[in-house]
Amino acid sequence: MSVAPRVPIESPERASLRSFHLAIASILFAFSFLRVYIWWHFPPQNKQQKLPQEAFNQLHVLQFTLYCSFIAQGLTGVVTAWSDGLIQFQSSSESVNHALWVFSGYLHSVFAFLYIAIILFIVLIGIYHMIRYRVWRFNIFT
Amino acid sequence: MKIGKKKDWLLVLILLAVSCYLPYLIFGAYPLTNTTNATPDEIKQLTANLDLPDYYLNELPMISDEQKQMEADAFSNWDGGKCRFCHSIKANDRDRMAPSLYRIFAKPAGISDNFTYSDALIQMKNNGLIWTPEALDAFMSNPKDFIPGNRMRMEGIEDPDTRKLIINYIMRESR
Repeated sequence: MSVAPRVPIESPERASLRSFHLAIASILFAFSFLRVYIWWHFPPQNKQQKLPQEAFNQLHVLQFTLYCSFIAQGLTGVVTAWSDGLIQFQSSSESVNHALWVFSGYLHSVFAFLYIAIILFIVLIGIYHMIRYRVWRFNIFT
Repeated sequence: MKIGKKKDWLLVLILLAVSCYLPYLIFGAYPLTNTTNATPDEIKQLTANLDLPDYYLNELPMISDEQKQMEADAFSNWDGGKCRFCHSIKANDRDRMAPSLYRIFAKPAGISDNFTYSDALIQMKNNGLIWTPEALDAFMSNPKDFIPGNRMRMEGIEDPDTRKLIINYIMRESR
């Protein structure tokens, strides 16, 4: 018996999952801004003697991009929800725009794929540097 | 802040480029929409000289609630046709990612609004494909072979009973 990986549209479960999605995404969106702000003003320092600066920078370019992709994901998500009429900033405003919904929804999907790929690369490259330079500390990821 | 070399940012750019392609590749999504794909005159021209029945003229026979639910499940659920995830069907449904199926029967292919069709579908429209229950059944059984190059990223529905339930549901709900 196959397990349904998606909940049917218009079901009550889907409505509550959507609310969960919006709530968690909003929190992640807000924290991503904070993280990039901190990063910008207090750039991470390489405290490892064994890890070359170049390898450290490579990981941190990816991590910085990861936080930026969370922000881009949030921005496109807000536009998608607004253009679909899910959120209204002004009760009188017409917020349904199909073309904008399609475009921002596509980008929302793009950034989802992007951050999955970046997380994968961070882990793989991080493990590679740990093995190559024998740095058995997880703070190379910070 | 100045971190990373060009090659580090090149990796980010490559990942971004690949990510831009993946929604199209996996879901058949397309970022732009055509508001109108065919004017009423064009539709008349496409269906001129065709003796098509009006599938929505007669009332459908009454069926049990259980049968109705089976049809709805076949159309909507992951174990059925999964159609509802992308297609709207009723007159007042909002358009989704795929073309609306509202009053689909006896319509030429590739004419629904608010959607950018693949070249393959436009070619089929020009070749005179009309969505009849038989054509839709053949399409659902093997979309890739029926219209090679179309963007509906679905495997065919092998079970003829499921296809029949879906067609009945569309006939019932899209009027």
